Amino acid sequence: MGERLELGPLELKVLEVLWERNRAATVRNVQPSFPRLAYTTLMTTLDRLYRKGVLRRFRLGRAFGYEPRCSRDQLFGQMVSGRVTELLAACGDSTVLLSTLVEAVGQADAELLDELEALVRAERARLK
Amino acid sequence: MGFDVTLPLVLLAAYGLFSLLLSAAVALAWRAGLRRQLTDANAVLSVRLLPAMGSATLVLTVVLPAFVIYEPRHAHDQPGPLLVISALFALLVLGDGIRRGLRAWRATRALVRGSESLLTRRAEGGTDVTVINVKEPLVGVVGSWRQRIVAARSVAAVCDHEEFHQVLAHEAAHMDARDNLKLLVLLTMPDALAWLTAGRALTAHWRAATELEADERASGTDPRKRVALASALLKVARLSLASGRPRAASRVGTQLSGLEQRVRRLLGPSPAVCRRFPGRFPGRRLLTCALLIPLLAVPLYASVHRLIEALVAFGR
Repeated sequence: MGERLELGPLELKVLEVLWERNRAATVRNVQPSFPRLAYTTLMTTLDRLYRKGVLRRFRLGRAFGYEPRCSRDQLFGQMVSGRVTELLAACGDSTVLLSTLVEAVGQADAELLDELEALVRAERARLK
Repeated sequence: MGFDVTLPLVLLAAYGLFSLLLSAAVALAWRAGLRRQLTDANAVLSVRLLPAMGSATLVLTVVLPAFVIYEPRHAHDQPGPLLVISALFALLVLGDGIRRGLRAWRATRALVRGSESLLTRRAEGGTDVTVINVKEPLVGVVGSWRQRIVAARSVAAVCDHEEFHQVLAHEAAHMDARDNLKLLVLLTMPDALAWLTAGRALTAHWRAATELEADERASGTDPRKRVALASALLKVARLSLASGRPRAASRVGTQLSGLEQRVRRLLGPSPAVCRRFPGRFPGRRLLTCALLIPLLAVPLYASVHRLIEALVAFGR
């Protein structure tokens, strides 16, 4: 699954149904949750989710069965992670209205971190 | 001079020229060492707001009344090229400010919406925090109006109870100070300063100052809290290195910035008394200036009108 995964509102709703079912489902199994939608619309949506790598697909009798590749938390975590990475890396930190705890850490700071951690340990020992 | 046609042009042109002059003045002052004088976040914010807010104040309280009072009702002057160019410049500045603000707002909205459906749990001390699974050891406040604290699961896991509590207190201090809303205002400021290095440095300087202030607000005079926060900062920094996506240090390349300074400050002698922080917004000082300018400018209206006439006629 790529980091730039984008899911539409219907795709998210279908995914929610699959997560709630907690087992593989065909288009017909999902359809009662979307009575106003055509069978073909749901089929296309599930197929699109499969092509995006979100669903696993396999033969279930004469139809296809679908099940999520990962849990809800894992998927949203990955989506947000991708978005955060994208926003912080591409846009520059001042573009997002986000104040972060540690603003800047460079690779050259590793030794400095050791030194500062030693100071923290010493201060903790002093306060005990 | 046609009143209805020329007035908007004059106002825009005046805004453009004031914005250019004030931006240049702030940039020069910054290069001349203003950065060393500005340690308080609200003072930095006031300086950064000066070109746009000052220009708007001057236009509304000096140029507009001078024009309305002294301009003959049925005068029809052809606008000269300087007036038109200045007005176009003002439109460019205003448009770019709106563009920057919208960009920041959209990017933030995308982030907020992305994390909206994720687990929210109530942490100790009554602070709501959204814990998310992201690679980066992200801890921060996201959003400008409807703010929320977002923390990566890795940060919550690596910090002990007291450290995480201090992390949340630090972020709550940002929320209380409305720092993200101020950042949105900074990013949206329609002025030429936004295009100059000094403008970006001022914004970075302000962000660094807000971090120091949030540290102080969170830990106060309690040495244990100060050590816990320092330790949490280092743990998050360590995670940041391990995540392989360290953020460029140059973005906050100011004297106030830097993890080292923050940690050493927290580990240093605790202040005897809690520092008093000014209000959320530097409104009182700006309001005083905004009220003083028109009062002082009343005797100058006639001269200002002559300058407007010269501006309208220049190059014609």
